[in-house]
Amino acid sequence: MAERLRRFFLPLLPIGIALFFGGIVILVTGGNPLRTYWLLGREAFGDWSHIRATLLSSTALLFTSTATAIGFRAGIFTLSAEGAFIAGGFAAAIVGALTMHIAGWVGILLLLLVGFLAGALVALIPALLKAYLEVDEVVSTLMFNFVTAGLVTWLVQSFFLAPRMGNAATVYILPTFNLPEDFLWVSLSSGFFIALLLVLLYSIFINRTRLGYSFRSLGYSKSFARAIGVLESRTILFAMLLTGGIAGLGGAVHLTGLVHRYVSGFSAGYGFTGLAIALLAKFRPLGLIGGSLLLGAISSAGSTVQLFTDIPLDIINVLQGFIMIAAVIEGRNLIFTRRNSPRAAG
Amino acid sequence: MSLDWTILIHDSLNLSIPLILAALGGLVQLRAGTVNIAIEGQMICGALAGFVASATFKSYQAGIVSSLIVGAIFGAFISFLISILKGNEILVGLGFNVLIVGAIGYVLKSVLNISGTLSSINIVQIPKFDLVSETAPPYLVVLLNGHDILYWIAILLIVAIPFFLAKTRSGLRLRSVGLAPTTSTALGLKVSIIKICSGAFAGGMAGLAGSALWLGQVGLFNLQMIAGRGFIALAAFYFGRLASIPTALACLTFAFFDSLQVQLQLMDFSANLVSTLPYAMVIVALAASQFMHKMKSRGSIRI
Repeated sequence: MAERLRRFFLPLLPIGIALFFGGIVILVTGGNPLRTYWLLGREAFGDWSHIRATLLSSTALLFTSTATAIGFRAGIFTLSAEGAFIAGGFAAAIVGALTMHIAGWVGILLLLLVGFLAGALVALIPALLKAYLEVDEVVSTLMFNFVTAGLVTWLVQSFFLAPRMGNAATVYILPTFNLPEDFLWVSLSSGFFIALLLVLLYSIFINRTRLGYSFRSLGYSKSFARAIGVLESRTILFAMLLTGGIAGLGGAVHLTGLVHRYVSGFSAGYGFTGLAIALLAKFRPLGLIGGSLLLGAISSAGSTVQLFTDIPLDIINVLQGFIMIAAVIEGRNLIFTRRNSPRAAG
Repeated sequence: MSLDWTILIHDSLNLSIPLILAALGGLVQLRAGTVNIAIEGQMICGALAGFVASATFKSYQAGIVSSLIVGAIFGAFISFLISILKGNEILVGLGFNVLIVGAIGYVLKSVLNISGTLSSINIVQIPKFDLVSETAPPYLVVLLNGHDILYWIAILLIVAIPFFLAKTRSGLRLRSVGLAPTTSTALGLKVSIIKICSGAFAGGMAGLAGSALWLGQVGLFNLQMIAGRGFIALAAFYFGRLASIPTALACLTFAFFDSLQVQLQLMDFSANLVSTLPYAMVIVALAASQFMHKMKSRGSIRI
């Protein structure tokens, strides 16, 4: 029982530490931390429209964090979610703006598929390099994010710029490609439910399938994975492509569900925030949902609260950075299971 | 308009200095067993500290020294989180990068009410000096003229660091901590202290790199100015396989592509496209070096 309580409350500790140190930053710069946190809380959960905004910004994070978690489970430290999210959103925006009218879910599914493929494509080169040349994936995926961002901006500005627009944006996608604004009885974009479904699939995949088992065994120990017959290179390749694909899918959902066109600043650092969430959650499905809700709330509240108060948006990064550091310091042996402790293998 | 090779090479040399300083620091820290992901954040800290000190005291020396000190303090602190509190090196580093961008942006906005860019008329830039006359052979002019003190410090370090690591007692201890921490502990070395010292050195170098980035160039501080250079420095010492001359050459190569992209932009190539060139080259270089390494020694140890 004590262990269960510990397991439940332990992930909350970094958040507490982050709020504490974030509070100090606010305090020394002449702000009032309690007022700031109260305003952030009200903006995040004050009424249904605020909760809705929170869930919308959590949606993108659910995709990027789940995507990153899959790679981590296979022992791969991939940062490609950021670039893949952008690429997925951009590719879906182009297809959605340029193809003809395709009615209903077929059209939407087409866009989501395009997003998935674009995301996987972004992850392809680092994945091949990691799988067959053992090129360090932290550096290569990070560099590839810069390359992807530059390429996408170039493509938008050179070929797909919407006429008469102040900032770099593509034209809006056809309305038939928009995700339904209402799902069943709730007035909430269906993107959120797709994301929840994805987390469920992730849980089943990792815990109940053969491939998921080979991912976990590779993340647990390379020699163990080899001993039970896991094909190392192929598994690495597959895990990294899946990470990119899911993040790309997230980009497509973000596009069809919320933004409806590709515009500069399409990803508000969702890839990196997703990375923090995946680590905070220790890759557990419920943790991914909880973490995405929390950081979605912070980012949604942070972006609206700066509209009517003097609290800068940067407070989001401050809190997030503290959360990332605090999370790994307290969960020191849980992150890299293969190196330190056999306890968190499952 | 065509490429001006003299300017290109001269710019490459100057642009490579921040990279070389940061990469050499990271190299030493990785020799002690910790990879410094926080170079990016430390460079921003160093740049800001150097900027503020230089503007306050109206002296570039004050700027250089404070960027060094601030970087070293952060480096030591991050090392402390990693080696004593056992935080994962990569995550602590990434978290620190996020945190520092947020905190500086937050302070700039809430205290000074400005977003992102800090400028001052009191900035004293690092003076550049010439060693040979303009009539000397062109390659000597490019190499010896128009560089600042940090250029010469970087060159000195390229030589001094291998010497320190290979020939001094402290260097030997540092390497042994990196190669075999458990054995080093058993032999009575203070592993954590050595790691924290190496972290302080790496942080100091990254801080210095931050001030090299702007003190030599413009009288502005901007949050976006580092733009992934910390990660390029990181890639450089991976690429150089922890040897200082190959690492410096890698930095020079990346700097070459960086100044090439500036020149190409002037020639009306798309800025967005060519600005990805240095990053793409990092990937190509890493892949090539890894490929060659694999060909040379199969089944080697991965660093």
